Amino acid sequence: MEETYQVIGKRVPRLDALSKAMGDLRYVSDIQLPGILIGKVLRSPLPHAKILQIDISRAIRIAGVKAVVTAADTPRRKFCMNPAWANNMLLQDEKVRYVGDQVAAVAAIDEDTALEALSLIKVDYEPLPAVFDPEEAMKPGAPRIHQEESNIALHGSRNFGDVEQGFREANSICEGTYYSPAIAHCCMEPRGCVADYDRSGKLTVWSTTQTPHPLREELSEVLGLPQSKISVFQAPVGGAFGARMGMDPIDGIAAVLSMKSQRPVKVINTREEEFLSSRIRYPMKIWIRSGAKKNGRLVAREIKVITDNGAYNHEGQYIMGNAGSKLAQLYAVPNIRYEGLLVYTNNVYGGAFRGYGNPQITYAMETQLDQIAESLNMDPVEIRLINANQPGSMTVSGCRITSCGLTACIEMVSQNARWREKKMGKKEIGPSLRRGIGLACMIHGASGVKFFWGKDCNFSSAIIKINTDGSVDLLTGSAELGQGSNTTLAMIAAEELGVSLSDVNVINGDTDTTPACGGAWGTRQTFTAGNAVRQAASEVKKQLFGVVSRLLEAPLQDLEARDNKIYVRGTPGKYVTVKEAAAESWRNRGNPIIGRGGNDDPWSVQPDPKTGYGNVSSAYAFAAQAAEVEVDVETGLVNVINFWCAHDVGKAINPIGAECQIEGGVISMGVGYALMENLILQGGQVQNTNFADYKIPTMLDTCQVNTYLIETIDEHGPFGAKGVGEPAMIPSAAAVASAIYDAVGIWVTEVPITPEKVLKAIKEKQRAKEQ
Amino acid sequence: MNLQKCLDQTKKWTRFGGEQMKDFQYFSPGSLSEAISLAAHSGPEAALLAGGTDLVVQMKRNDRFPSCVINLKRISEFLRIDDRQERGTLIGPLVTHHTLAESPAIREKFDFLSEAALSIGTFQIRERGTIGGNICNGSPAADTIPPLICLGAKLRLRSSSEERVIAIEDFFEGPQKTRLKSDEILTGIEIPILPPRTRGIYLKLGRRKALEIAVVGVAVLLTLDERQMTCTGARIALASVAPIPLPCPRAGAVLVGQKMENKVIEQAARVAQEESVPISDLRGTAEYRRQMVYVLTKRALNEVHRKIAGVNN
Amino acid sequence: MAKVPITISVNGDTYEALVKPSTTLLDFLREHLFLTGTKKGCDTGECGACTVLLDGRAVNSCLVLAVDANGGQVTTVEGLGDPEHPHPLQKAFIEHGAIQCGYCTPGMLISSKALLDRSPNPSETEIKTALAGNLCRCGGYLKIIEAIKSLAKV
Repeated sequence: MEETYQVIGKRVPRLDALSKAMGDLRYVSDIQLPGILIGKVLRSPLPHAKILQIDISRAIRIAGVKAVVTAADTPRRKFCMNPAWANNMLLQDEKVRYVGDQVAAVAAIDEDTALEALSLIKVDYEPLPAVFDPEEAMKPGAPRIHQEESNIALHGSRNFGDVEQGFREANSICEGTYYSPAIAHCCMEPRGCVADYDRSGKLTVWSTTQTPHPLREELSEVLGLPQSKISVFQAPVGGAFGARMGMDPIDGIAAVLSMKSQRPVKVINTREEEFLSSRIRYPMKIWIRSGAKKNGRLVAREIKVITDNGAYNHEGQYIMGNAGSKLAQLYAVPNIRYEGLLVYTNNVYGGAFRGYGNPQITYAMETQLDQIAESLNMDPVEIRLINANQPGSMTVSGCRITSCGLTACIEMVSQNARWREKKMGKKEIGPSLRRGIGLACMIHGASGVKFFWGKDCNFSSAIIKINTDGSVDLLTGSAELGQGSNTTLAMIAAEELGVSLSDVNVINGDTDTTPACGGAWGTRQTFTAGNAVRQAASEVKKQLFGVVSRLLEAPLQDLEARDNKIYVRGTPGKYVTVKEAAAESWRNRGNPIIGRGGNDDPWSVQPDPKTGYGNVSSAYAFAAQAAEVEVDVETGLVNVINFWCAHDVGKAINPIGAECQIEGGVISMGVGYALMENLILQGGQVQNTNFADYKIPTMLDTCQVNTYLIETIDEHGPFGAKGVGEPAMIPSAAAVASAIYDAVGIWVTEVPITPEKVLKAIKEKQRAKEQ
Repeated sequence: MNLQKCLDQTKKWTRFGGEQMKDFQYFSPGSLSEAISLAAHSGPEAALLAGGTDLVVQMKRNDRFPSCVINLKRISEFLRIDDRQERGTLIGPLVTHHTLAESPAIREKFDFLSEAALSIGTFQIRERGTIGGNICNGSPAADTIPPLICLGAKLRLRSSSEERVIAIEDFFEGPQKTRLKSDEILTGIEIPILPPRTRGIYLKLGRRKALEIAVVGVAVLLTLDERQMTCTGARIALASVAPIPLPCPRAGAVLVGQKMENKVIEQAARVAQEESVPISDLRGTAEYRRQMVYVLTKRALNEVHRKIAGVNN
Repeated sequence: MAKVPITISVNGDTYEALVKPSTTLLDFLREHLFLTGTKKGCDTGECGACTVLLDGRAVNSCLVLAVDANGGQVTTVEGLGDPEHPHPLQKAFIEHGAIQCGYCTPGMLISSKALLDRSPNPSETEIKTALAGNLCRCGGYLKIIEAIKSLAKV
C-alpha cells in the first residue's frame, strides 16, 4: 500500500543551507573567544625513536607563549576506540612510532609566536630501526614497535560452512591478490578543536568530531576529569567520512593546553598535517579466491588479508573484521573463510573511512566475480542476478536480510545504462580510444553495528519538546557532518507529529543538553537515530492526544495528527492545534510536553566472539553501480563518462539528500579512489602533502551520474528507511575497473588505476598474445 | 639512521604546524625606473613579486625567505601586449595567464600559447599568475615556456647598469634556476612575427583535467609550404622531461624539408624521445614519460598539421 | 619589521589597518576583520576555499598579500546577500541541494559569481573550467553545476 506522507519523501533544502550559503555558520576555526590562544603540535620527524629528553626551556621563555606541554602534563593515559587495545597517548613520552607522532605542544598569543616556540623545543631522539612493510614487520627479528614480542596486533580467522568442499564443487575458480593503499580523507575543513578550561575546573570543547558523546567519555578517561566537568559541542563539520570518529589527539592536546594555560586554545591542523600525520584508510593486501558452479552460483570464497595497522591501535580490528564479513554477506555465499593479519608498522595509522574496509574488499570480490563470469561465459549482470541476495534470507554468517532490493538495483541500472547494447557494441571509438561498461554491487550494514567502543552496544536517543507556541525542539545526540542528518531527523519528527518541517528546531551534538548517541558512523544515523526520533515523536504524540482526547471528549484511537493540528478523524472541523494542546498541558495541567525515544539497534547482536556468527545489523543496504569509461590505449588515461547508481535506501526520507550522497560518493570519492588517490609513503614519510600531488577529482573530472532510489520499505527502519552514506562510494571503483576490462581487456589489481598501470597491463596482454 | 642528520631535520619539520613567513620589507614601485633602482639597492636578498602564485607559496614554505619584496604590479607598461607589426609582439611580464588565454592579440597569432596558459592550475591561479612569473620561476614543468621556445621568444632583461636581450632557451640553468641576475628585472617578452602557414599546438599530459603540473608537456610549431604538404619549419620543445624546459632541435630538424607523412612524424617523435632526459618522481616514472614524449609528439605533429592544412579528422 | 598601512574596501566598507607585509589577504579578512565566511582549506592556493573577488576577479586570497591588495575592492561571501535578499546564486545553491558540509560553498559562490559576471550564459565546459579550482569532497559538483545553469540568461 502506497503511503502518502506530508513531509517524508519530499525534496527539501537542508535546514542549515541558508547559514552555509551566507557564510554565517561558524566552524571550529571561525570560533573566537576572549583571550583565545593558538596551539601548535610538535611532531616527530622520525618514524621510530626513543625520546631521550625534551627541553622546553627556550620555548617557554618566548614572550607571548602561555603553555608548553609534554606527556608530563597529562595523566599519561593510553587511549583507543576499544580501551582494551589502548596503546596510543596524546603526547608520547617514551617512544615515537611514526613520522608525525605527537611529542609536545605549545599555546601562544598568535600563530607566529606558537611556531617560533615550537622551533625552540629541543628533543633528543635515539633513532631506532624502523619497519614500513607489514610483511616485513611480521617476520621474527623485525623491529619491535610496541611492548609485545610480535608486531602482529591481531591474527584472526572465521570459517562458515566448508570452504574446501565448496571449492571441490566449483566448476570455476579464480584467485588473485589485490592491493589498496593509504588514502587520505581530504575533508575540505582540516581537523581542529577549541578547548576552554575555565578556572572553576570545567572544560568546554568545540570539536570537529563525528561522535560528540563518545568524545566526552574519551576525554574524561584520557584527562582524568569526570564527565560532569566536560561539555562537548560538535561544531559544524566541513566533511568527515570517518576522519573525525573517536577522539583525535588534537582534541585532547587542545584540552591539555587549555588546562595548562587556563585560557581557551584553538588547535587546527594545517593541510600539510592533514596529509602527513592524520589517520588514513587502512592499507590492505588481499589474497582472494572465489569458486562458482556452472550455473553461476558462487559456492565458496576465501581471503587472507594483511592490514597495515600503522603505529598505534585505533579501529583496525573492526575494519579488518568488517571487510572479511562482507565475504559472507554479499551474495550469501555458503562456504566462507577469512583470515586476517593486522600488523604494526612505523607508518601513520589508520582510522574509520567511508566504507570501513568494504571498498577494499568489494574491489577484490567484484572484479574477481567478473573473472568468474567470463570463465563461465556469463555476463556480469547475469551472474549477479543469479547470486543476488533475496529479502527474508539468511547468510551463512547469521546475517538476517530483511528488506533487500539488490535485484531491482541491478535491473534498474542495467536497463538505464542500456547494458546489453553497450556490452555487445563497438569498443573502438577512435584510433586510440576504447569504450567500455562495467558493473559492481555491494552490501553494507544500514543501522551501524554493535561494537561501539568495546561496549557491545549501538544506541541513539532523542528528546522532543513541544514549545508553548507549538514549535518543536528536537534534541538528538547525533552528529551533523554535512551529510544532512539534522534535516532527515527533523523530517521524521515532523512527519510523525504532523507538524510543518519549518516548525522543527534541531539541537544536536551538544553533550550538555542532548541525550547520548553513538554518533555518525556506519551509515547508522538515519536508521538508529531516526528510530529514536520517531519513538520520541510518537511518545509526544501520545501525550498530545491525551490532552486533546480530554478537551474534545474523543477516544484516543479516533485522533490523528496533521497540518499542525490534532483532528478527530473524519470530522475536519473538530480539532485542537498543537500549540493549543501544548499550552493547555503546560499551563493548565503543569505538564510540559516532553517525550523521549531510544533505539539500540535491537534486531542485531554482537557477533559471537569465537565464531563471528550473528546478525550484525538490523538492516542492510544494497546497491548496484554501472560505470562507462573511455580508455586511451596510448597514454593509459581513463576517462569516466557515466555512472548509473541504484541504491536500496528502504525509504528515501529526503530524496535530494540521498542523491547528494550518491553523487558525492561516486565522483568526489569513488572515482578518486579508483583512478587517482594514493598517499605515497616512503620510509614512513608521506611524500604528497598537498592537493596538487594528492589528487582528488575537480569539477572538470566529473561525469554524468544517474541515480535511482529503490524503496524496499524496511520493516525496522523509520518509515522504512535505511542509510546511504557509505554505500554511495563502496562499489564505484570496482565498477570502473569492470568497465576498463570491457574496454581494453585488462585488470588492474592495485588501486589507483593509474595510466602507467593501464599501459603496462595492455603491453603485457599484447606480449602474452604474441607468445 | 644518523642522529645528527635527524636532528638537522628536526628544524625543518616544524613545518608540521606550518611555517612562519619570515618578515620582509615591502615595496610597490610605481615606475620601472623606481623598480630598477630598488632592485639595484636590495641585491640578492630581494624577490620580485608578480602574481605571487609561486613566490607566496615558496615564502610560506620557507623555500625562499627574501628580506625584501618588490611588487611589480603598479608598473603599467608591464601589463601591455603590443603588436609592433613586422617587429613582432611584445608581451609585458605581468600579463596574466588569464589574459594570455583570452586576449585576441594572443589567441589569433599564437593560439597554442593561449592553450598552454589555459592549462595552468586553476582559474584563480590564472587570474593572478603571470607569464613573467612563469618564466622567472624557471620550473622545467612550466607550461608557457615550451611554446615560447618554439616561437623563438627573446627576453628583455634590465638592471641599473645594462639592458640585454637573450633567447628564452638560454635563460635556464636548472630546476628553478635561471640566469636572471640578482639586480635584473624581466621587462618584456619579444615574439617575432611568424611566417605564413605556421601554427602551433601544446599538449599537456596530466592525470586530472585541472590543478595539474605536467607529467609531460609537448609544444610544436610547424610551418608548411604553399601546398601544405611539406614542412619548411619545425620547432619542438618539451616540459617536465629534463632539468630545464627542453628545446628539441634534432627532432625539429627531422621534419624540415620532408613531407608530413606518418613515418617522418614517427621519426621526429622518436628523436624527441631520445632528446628527453626525464626522471622518475611523484608524478610519473622516467619510462612512462619517455613513452609519452613519443605519443604526444606524434599526436601534436598530426594535429598541428591538420590545423594548418584545415583538414578535419 | 615595520607594519605597513593599507586601505581596503571589503563588501563596500572601507577599512584602514596596519599589517605586517607577510599577512595574507585571507588572514586579514578572517583574523583582523573577523569575516570568517571565507575559509582556509589549504593556505597554498590549491583548494579554492579562500576564493574572494579582488577588483572583480576570483582569486585565492591565501596567495594575495594584504599589502598587495592595498587600494583594492574585495567581495567575500558575506557581501553577496543577506537572508532577506539572498544573491540569486545563494538561492539557487540552496534550492538545488548544492550545499552539503558547506565548507567549499563560500568559495564556490564567489567563483560562480565571477563566472556569471563575465559570462551570463556559460556552457557546461565554461562552468567546469571556472570552478575547477574549487575542490569539493562531499558533493560531487553536479548540483552546483545545475544551480549555476539555472541562472544562465539565455
